Amino acid sequence: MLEIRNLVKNYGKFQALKGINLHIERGEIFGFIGPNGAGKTTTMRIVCGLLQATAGEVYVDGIDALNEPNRIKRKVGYVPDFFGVYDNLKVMEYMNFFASMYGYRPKEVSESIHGLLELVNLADKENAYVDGLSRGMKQRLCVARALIHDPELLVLDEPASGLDPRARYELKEILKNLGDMGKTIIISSHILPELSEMCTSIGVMEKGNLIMSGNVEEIMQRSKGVAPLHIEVVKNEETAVRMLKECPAAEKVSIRDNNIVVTFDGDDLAVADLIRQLVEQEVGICKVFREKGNLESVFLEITEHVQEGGKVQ
Amino acid sequence: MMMNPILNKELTVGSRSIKMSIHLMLYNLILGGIAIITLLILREESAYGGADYQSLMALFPILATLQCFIILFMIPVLTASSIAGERERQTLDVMLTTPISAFSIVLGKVFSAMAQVLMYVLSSIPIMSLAFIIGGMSWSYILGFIVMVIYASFYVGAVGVYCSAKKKKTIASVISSFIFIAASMVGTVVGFSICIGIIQSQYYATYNGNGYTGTLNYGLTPLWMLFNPAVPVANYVCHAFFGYSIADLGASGKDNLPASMYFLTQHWNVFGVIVNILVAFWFIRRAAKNINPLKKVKSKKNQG
Ligand SMILES: Nc1ncnc2c1ncn2[C@@H]1O[C@H](COP(=O)(O)OP(=O)(O)OP(=O)(O)O)[C@@H](O)[C@H]1O
Ligand SMILES: [Mg+2]
Repeated sequence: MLEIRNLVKNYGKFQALKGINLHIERGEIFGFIGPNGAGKTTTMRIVCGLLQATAGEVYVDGIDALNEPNRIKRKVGYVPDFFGVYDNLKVMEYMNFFASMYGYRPKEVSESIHGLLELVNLADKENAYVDGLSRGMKQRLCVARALIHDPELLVLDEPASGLDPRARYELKEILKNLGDMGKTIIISSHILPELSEMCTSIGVMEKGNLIMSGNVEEIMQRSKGVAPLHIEVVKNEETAVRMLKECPAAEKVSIRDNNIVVTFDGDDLAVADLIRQLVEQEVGICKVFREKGNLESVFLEITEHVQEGGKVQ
Repeated sequence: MMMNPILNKELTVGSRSIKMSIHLMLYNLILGGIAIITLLILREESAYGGADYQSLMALFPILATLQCFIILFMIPVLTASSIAGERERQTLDVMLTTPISAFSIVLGKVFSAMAQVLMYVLSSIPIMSLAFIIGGMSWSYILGFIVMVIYASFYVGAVGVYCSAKKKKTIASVISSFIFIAASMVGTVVGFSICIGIIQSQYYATYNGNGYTGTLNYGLTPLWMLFNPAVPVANYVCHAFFGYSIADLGASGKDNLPASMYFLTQHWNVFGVIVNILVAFWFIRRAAKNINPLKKVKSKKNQG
C-alpha cells in the first residue's frame, strides 16, 4: 500500500530524513514513534504531497506520489497535528466545505457525511458550531473530514495529543473500526503505550532514521531479550545469585521482594537450561517468569543504543 | 456551474458575522449622513432663491470616491489573513491535500473579499440613488460604477491575497498591500510625468527664436498610465459627473500622439481594465505558486 525508498529531506543544510525505507501493507495500522524532531511529521507531509522530498521514492498504492501528487490526493486522507477550526461554521457545513473541494455536491454526500459523523460519534452534533466542540470532538471531526473521499490511506499526525484518556479511548476504537474496514492507517506519536495497543506494526524513528520497523508481535518477541527474568527462590538463594553472576548471558542481577531479577539474554530454551543448572545445584525454585515485555522498554533500549552511536536493525 | 467552495464557505461564515452587519449599518449611516447634509444645504439655498437640484448629482462622485477608498483600505485588511490565517490553522495544508488547485484556493479568497465589498456597495445603492432620482443623473452610470467596483476590488483583492501568501504576519501583509497599490498608482504617475517632462523639454529646446523646429510627439508615454489601476475608475466617475474623459484629452492632443496611442485613449477604459485584470491574474498566479508546496507542479485541472 505504501512503499518508501531511501527518502531524504534536507531543510537547507539540516538533514531531517536520512534515507527512510518503509513498507506498509494494506489494512495495517502503522504507528510512527519517535521523540520530538525525529522526522515523523516530515515523513507524513511528504507522503501527503505537502512537502517536496529531496531524494527518494514514495509509492501509494503503486502510484508515484512524488511525481504525480494529484493522483494520490484521492487516495490519501490527512489529519494534521494541529486542528484548526473556522468561526461561525457548523459541523455539517464544515464537512460539506471539504466535500466540495473534492467536487462533491452537498446533496450527493449528505448521506455519507451522516455515516461518517455516526462513525466518529458526532451524529448529534451536526448543527453544532465547530469552534464550540471539545478538543476530542474536534479531533474526531477531523478524522471524519479526512474520510470524506473514502481514502485508502489515512495519515494522522499525533491524533491523541492533548486528549484525555476517555477521548483517547474513543479515538482508538474509531481507528480500530477503520482498520477493520480495510483502511491503511499511519499514526504518529511520541508516546508509545498510545500506539502499542492499536497498531499492527510500528516504526521507531530517531534523528531522521527509521531505526526499527516491523510487526508489533515481532518487536515484542525481540523485547524478550530485554525484559528481565524473575526467579522466585525458596532455598539456597546465595548459590543462585553466585551462579547467575558467573553466567555470561546474565546481567544486572538484583534481589527484589524475595525474587531474583536478572536481565538474561537468551531464548526460552536457554532459560530452561538455566533452570536445570540451578536445580542441579539444589536451588529451590518455585516460580520463574519473564517480566511482561512492553514496547516502552524496547523503545528505550533501542534509542539508548542509538545514542551510543550504533544503528540497530 | 459550481461555486468556488471557498467563496461559498466564506459567504456562509460572513452572513453569520454580527460584526459585518454592524459595519454595514455604520457604513450606510455615514453615507446617509452625507446625503442628508447635502439635502440640508440645498434647502438652505432654496430659502434664498431657486435650489439647484442638479447639485445633488455631486453626491455621485462623493459617494463613488468614498467607496473607492473603502475598497482601497478594506480589501487589504480583509485579505491580509486570508492565506496566512489558513496557514496558521493548518487548514491550508488540509485544503492542499484535496484535489482543489492552489489557484482555485487563491481565487476563492479574492472572490470572498470582492463579495464583501460588493455587499457594501450594493447596500449603498438606495442612498446613491438620490443622485439619480433628484439629481437627474442617468441610471446606467450606477451599473457602470458597479462594474468598476468589481474590477477595482478584483485588482486590490489579488494584490492583498498575494501579500497574505507571502507574509506570515497580518500587519506585514496589510502594509505591503498598501505599498504595492500605492506604487502602482503613484509610481505610474511619476513615470508618466517624467517621460512627459523629458519629451516636452526636448521639444522646447528646439525653439530658435521664432518657432519650434522639432515636433512634439509623446510616443508611448500613455502606456505608463495603462498600468495605473485607478485610472479607469477615476475616468469613469469623471465622465459620469463632468462629462469629460481621457478620450477627450486624447482627442485634444491627437497631433502629438502616434495613431496607436490615440486609439488607446479613445478606448481607455476597456484597455485599462483588461491590462490591470491581467496584472491581477499575475498576482494570483504568483500567490498560487507560493502556497503550492511542490515546485514541479503539473497544472492539471483536477476539478470536475
Ligand atoms: N520548515 C522547516 N525548516 C527547517 N527545519 C525544519 C522544518 N520543519 C521541520 N524541521 C526540522 O526537521 C526535524 C524533524 O521535524 P519533524 O517535525 O518532522 O519532527 P517530528 O518527529 O514530527 O517531531 P514532533 O514529535 O515534535 O512533532 C526537526 O529537527 C525540525 O527542527
Ligand atoms: Mg510532528
